[in-house]
Amino acid sequence: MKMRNGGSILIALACASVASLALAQASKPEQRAEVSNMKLAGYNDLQARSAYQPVIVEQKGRWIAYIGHHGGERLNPLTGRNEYNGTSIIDVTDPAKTKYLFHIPGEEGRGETGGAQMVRICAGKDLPRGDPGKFYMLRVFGNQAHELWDVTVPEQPKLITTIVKGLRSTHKNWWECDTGIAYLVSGPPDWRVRRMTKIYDLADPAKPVFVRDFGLDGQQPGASGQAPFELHGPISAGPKRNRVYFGHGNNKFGILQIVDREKLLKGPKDVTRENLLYPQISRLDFPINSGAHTVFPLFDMEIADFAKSKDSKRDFIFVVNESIQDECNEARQMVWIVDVTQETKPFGVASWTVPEASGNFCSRGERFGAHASNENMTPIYYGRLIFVTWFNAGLRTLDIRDPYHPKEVAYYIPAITAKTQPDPTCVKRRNPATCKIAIQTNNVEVDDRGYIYIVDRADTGMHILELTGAARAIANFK
Amino acid sequence: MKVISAAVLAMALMFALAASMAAAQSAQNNQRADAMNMRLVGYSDLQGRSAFLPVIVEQHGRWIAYVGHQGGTAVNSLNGKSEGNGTSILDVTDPKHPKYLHHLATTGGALLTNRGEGSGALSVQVCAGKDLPKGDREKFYMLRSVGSETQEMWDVTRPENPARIAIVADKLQSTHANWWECDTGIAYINSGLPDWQVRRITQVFDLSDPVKPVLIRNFGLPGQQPGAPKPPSVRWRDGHGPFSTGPQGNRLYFGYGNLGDGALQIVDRQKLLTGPPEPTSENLLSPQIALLMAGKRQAVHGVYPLLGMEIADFAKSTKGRVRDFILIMPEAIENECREEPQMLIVVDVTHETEPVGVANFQVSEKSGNFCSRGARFGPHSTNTRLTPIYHKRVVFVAWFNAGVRALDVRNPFNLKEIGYYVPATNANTEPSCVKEDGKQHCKTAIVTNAVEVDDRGYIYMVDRNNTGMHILELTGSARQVANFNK
Repeated sequence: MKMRNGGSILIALACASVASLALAQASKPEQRAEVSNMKLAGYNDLQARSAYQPVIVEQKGRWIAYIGHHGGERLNPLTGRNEYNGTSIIDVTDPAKTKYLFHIPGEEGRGETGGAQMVRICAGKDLPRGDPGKFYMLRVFGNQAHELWDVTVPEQPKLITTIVKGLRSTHKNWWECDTGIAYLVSGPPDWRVRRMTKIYDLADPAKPVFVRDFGLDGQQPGASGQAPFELHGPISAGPKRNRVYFGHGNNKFGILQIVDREKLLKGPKDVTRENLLYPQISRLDFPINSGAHTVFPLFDMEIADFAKSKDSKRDFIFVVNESIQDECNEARQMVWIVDVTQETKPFGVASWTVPEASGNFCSRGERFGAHASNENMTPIYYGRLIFVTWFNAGLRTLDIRDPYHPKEVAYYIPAITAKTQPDPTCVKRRNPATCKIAIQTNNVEVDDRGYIYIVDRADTGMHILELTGAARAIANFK
Repeated sequence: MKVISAAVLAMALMFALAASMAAAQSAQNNQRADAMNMRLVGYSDLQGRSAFLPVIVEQHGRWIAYVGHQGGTAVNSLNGKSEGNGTSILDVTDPKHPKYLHHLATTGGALLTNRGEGSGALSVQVCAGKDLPKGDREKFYMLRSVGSETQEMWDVTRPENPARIAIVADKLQSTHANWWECDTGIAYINSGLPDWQVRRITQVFDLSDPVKPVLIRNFGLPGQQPGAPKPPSVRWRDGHGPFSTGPQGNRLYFGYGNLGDGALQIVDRQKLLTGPPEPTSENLLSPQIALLMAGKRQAVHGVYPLLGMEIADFAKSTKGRVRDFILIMPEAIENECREEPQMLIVVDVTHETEPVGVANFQVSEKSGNFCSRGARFGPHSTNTRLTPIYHKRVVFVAWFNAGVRALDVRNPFNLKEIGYYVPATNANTEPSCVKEDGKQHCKTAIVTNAVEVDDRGYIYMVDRNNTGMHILELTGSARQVANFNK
């Protein structure tokens, strides 16, 4: 195999084991993979579709990756037709030989205006009233609707029902598989913000039951004054912890809201100020130039250095901002760690950013900044390592065993390939020749085997990674 | 001349070393000096008095250190008399040889021996008459607290012979750390007033003419004023004194709280000074820009502003490159870590109405087994003098049994320790005790209470448990971070 300009040993090794990486090396711009303590285990080009959310589940001995896509249109080689970007379904049982199984088309449109960016999967055996032999997929259809699919046979997904439609926006949903409760990020036309939460009981996936509408006070219809910024997505800690964390804002107006789940689900449902505030335990407003995209809880963290003091155990929320401007035309979007041990007074204690100078990232083109963390709480990584996507700085792996001192222990920036596309909004606004092409690692997820999946907003595909060296030693692969 | 063999020399050296170690151990202490990038320049035993706060000023070519003491009595070696701890006045022009000039004793209620607030003469601030709007240009003035009851004004033009010239306030119930703006004369005096609901609040005085104190207003958090419903305790967010950025910055940063449940309050100075003075909830709230609750674990004792910080790594970002921060720190109270760990927090106040914590600094417990050394382990206060040598570059933090810690603050998102100095305990060091299974056990440890710098760049640290005052300088790579060139 011939490499364009030598290539590092790491790349050569990865290349030898993963045939599809040859594509990555036949690339036009001058960026090869940059790697520390991670290695490429596999790759899939995702039909060169702009990708948002990967979710990986084990289905009867097979490992299936579901990828939600942003809007766009690409050829599906399986059907030979051009299809609007929707959901990619891939067998990743052998990560070195990923197999593209099916593409479910999405909504017409580009970027966040079309596609089917969000996807979640639950096993019927986990859902209170699911068919134990089945697997269910919750996905968005563009900005219009939330849908439920039967993906028991991932090669042949079947639409079961449309949960809700007629929306003007959707985004990062959360679905509790053990209860069936789903928090659907939605934009009903009468709310004052583009995105709020519609809560459904999907315990029986074929019979969605609406529970309530929820948002920050001020976002509801009829409220006055400046509405708090729109929702990005929630993470529920489930009935045991009885908490739901909501992240609002992207690169500005960030708000972390801590909510009592029980009160949220059982409290009075009319959308009044009082009812919206009833389940709210507290909220933390970030400086106006920072958002709150992902809000990931780190419970019961034992701080080693506090061992001899009172109260060495603490709870934190790992808050990730979202960079949305190209070439650093905004304040740095990064990671914030909030101590929520005393929930009514969440208090920021640490932050972390990729040093810009370490890769000249502001000059590489497109977005540089944080976007999202993994959300699967597998014991392999939970409380030890967290993976954060950083757009043109790829994936960053942080040791968070001491959340007061997050430490980068690994990273992976994929190579640009022939498929990597410039930002469509740049192309629209400027002379396309001036739009730089860069990696845009959008979201990350891990599976229960410890593989790490990153997907690219700029059409570069999906890279499956493993930790190596000192970083791998931090994980818990027992 | 006799040739001494290498072996004999080595043995002699070993003996000398063993002898000095034995000496160190026999001095009832278990701790020798521990340093990184900091060097001891000079020392004064402060007559073996418990020290709270040092302030160093240049007076007619001499450098004078004023040290406020906590309660206790000790012999004043200048007159042979036993005196209640008050204010030590030292000539530190030559920091290698500090010269003890005068002890300004206290009497009466200030003689409490528990070293708590309200004992000795904790607070001391000095202004030059030439800076004060209505001061005598030739004179130097010292504002100090005495016991719980009194705030006094002294003429210290001749530091060997201070003279009291006014009582600023008396019949108080508590005193603590004051702040005096030398360019305006406005003083924020930490006082306890009998009719207020908490032990300490702020009395704002105009001391532009030091002999004619004018009370401007009493200030505290809404809920602390006379007539308000009783708060959970008299220590509910009681005041620790502010940091003022003066008329130009127009901000005051107030720290509140004692054992947790603290708050940082950002106040519009102009509105504070010119707003309606009656202590109604509305009037108390009107100068407040933001109140950041620190939660039940942390109080806010020390505050130190780092405003207009250019973050080098943000240079290419079009927004958010220049940011404002406040360092806030609680006060470790309990000996041997019998409390939640206390740490320094960096608060981003660029958007003043939404202050948010972005970073922390902790001395690693393991690095010195500090929880087992005896005494308190945790932060207490920073230097407050903003000399261009250190400001926005290095901040010094008093960390009780971990001595003084020098932090590189050029990037407040990522504070870095670049130096420290933990003095040796000595014969004066008083042990710190805890009760275990009904029995008291005591350990002798350093208790660095406060740190200050002077405009030459010397660093002064003083000890709560009588070890004295150590004068330090930065060395090595830490010194490079400071700005000694201009």
